[in-house]
Amino acid sequence: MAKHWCRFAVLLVFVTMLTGCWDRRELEERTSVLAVAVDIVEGREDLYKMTVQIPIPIKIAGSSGQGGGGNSDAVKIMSVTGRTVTDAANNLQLRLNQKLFLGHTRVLAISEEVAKRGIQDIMDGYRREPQIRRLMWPIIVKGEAASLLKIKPQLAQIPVVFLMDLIENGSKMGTIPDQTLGDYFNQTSNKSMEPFLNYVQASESEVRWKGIAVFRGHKMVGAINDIQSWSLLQLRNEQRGGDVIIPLPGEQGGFVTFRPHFVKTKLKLNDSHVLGNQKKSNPQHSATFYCELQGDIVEVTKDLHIPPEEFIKKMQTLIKKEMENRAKKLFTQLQKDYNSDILRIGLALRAHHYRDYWEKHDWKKEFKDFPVEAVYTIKIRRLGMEMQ
Amino acid sequence: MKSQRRVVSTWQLISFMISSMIGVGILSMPRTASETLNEMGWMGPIVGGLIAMLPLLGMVYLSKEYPGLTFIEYSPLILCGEKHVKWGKILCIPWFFIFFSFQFLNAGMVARGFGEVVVTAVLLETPLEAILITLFLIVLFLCMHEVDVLVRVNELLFPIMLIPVFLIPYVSLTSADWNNLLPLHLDSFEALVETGINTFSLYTGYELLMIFFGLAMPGAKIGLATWIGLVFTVVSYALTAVAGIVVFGYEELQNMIWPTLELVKTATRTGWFPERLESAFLAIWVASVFTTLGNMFYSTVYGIRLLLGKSIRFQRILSFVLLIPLLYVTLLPQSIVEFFAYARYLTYYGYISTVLIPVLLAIIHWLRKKTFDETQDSKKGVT
Repeated sequence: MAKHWCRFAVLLVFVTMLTGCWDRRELEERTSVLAVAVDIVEGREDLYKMTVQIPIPIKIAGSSGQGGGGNSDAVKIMSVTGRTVTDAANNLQLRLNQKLFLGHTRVLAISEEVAKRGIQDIMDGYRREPQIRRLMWPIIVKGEAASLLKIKPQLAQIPVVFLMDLIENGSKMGTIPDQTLGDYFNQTSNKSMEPFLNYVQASESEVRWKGIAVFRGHKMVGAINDIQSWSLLQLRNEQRGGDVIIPLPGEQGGFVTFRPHFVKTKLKLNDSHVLGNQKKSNPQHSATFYCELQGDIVEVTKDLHIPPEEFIKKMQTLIKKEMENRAKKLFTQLQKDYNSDILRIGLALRAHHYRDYWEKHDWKKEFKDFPVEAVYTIKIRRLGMEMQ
Repeated sequence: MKSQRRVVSTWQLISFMISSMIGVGILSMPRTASETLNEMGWMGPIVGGLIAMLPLLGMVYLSKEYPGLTFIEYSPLILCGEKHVKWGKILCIPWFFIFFSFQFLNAGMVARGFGEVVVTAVLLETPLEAILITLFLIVLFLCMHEVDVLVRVNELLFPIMLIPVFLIPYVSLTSADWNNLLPLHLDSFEALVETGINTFSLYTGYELLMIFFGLAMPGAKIGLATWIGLVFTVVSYALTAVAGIVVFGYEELQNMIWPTLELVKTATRTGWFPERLESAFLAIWVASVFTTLGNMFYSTVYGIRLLLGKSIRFQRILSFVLLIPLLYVTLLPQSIVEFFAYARYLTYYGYISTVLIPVLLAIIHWLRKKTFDETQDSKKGVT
């Protein structure tokens, strides 16, 4: 009998323990934040302004049959200030009925001004917070970061969802880098490279991807535009980038559009004694990207009146020249203007030339003058539905 | 009587050994391994495994010499021979004390480590004690049973534990940058040895086999089980270290407290139906930690029971009595930093009972046998 009682008691203890509902919080008992924007308060340099976008479940069409009319109602936007980001979040909590929940936050918008001052102090809180996902997207916004949350895209009920789709589809198409918070953390820690983030601009109702914000350490040093960003994507991530539109030489108002489909990039690091220019004792290192683009011609606005074989050849040299020029411009910007190695050349150098280069040089200083070039191979495969 | 308790099969030995070794250490291992070795961090667990090989050789040798006996029974025999078992037992008391106290403290640290992970990452509002007490109650329940139940539990939970061990390196392949693993070079041999010595703590748990070899079925392949268990563990640790380094780079690893958990969090890519893998991972991990903790604590209690020659009733009472100080041991480190410091001291303490003494015992036994054989031979020569 005693044994039965003992078993019963043990069972009872287990049942109460195993429910695991110590800090249970139902879904409707939390305030999920979809996006956070960080700005500087005008006139108060020591304060951050945090803006959050909170979806209102009941207003989202189809959720409960009531339907949402104007899509501006589907989210609530709140702004709050604080000395740090966490301070601001705590101040925000004072104005909310439910507990703030950052587990669903997908976008962290940071204004350019804040980014240029350095975002290490902002990121520290997010590094420590276990709710924050490393797959979240930090985005640098031209002008005020809060403007990104206030857009009314009309195509999606929740502005952040619109933005997420924009980035997600862009990275699927290979035109926008999938640069997550985790990538940013890894790149800032890594001694051989510098981080970069997506750079957007928001207007009243729209948002536009502008390119890439280049960082040095935790500070933004500048931005590169979409065309250079696509070159970066091809060279760094083997993503295809956007269409290449080139004016036809000699033809007024004539354009040709090349759409890359497959990209293959190889980074070759040379020391010059292989090339035989200098003495072996002082080898000059250099990096060459060999990039092969396969793609189609999708638009030619002027008829060139040349046979197709010649046309393909002519176009290939034309595109090759254009792509190499673009890459050269990218390198000049990164090296001379920003002095920031977001191309991951340093990582490759450390991996493959550790003893003969990396140990003897300070990459942060050397990158500026490191010889880098890109050699493109263009392979035009198809001409669309036209014969020429 | 002694043949009755020999119930553990070869497969059970393997699963017991692996689940005793793989515990909470793997969660912080990529960081500790790459601390000084940088991108060569994966060498750390391999060196640690090599260190563990030595005492394992000794243990296998001893249990082949004394089949069916646990170290509690054969240690006195080795020290003083069969004629003076009583003296041998007295001589062995410090050794038993070191062994049991290490198991006890190590069990405490394993529980604390797991509690810390759960409290910092998932259940933020839950007090640490609640998690620990729940875990201890299940261990207590386990201690109410005989050894065959323990090994069966290990056998049962072993496949569940396998899932994360191989899933982690696999899912992290998508975001890997292999240049992070290069260059392959060793700048300082000392760093390698130091890392090996520190990562050796990942392997503690194998010394429990000194008891369980003695409980193995007659005919169980002890040597085979040991080497399979060790190689499996070394490979899974090295793979996890590689995964951590290729995904994060060694610099970033130094900033993370539980890199393996972060690995699981980042590994959730599109196309994977579970969006938040870490909760599932931790749920599975409970099984792994439970077996590690359970094995250590059970062995402590069971060893004391064997030493005193008592029955299962004694074991039940003792396990309950010992759990209370265990809770205090677990709560001894005041902060997470202190926890890691304590765990490190414990590793050094563990060297005495996990490496030094098994090896010493094997050497003593070997010498005795040799001299014994020689005297036999000389006697033969005389006659």
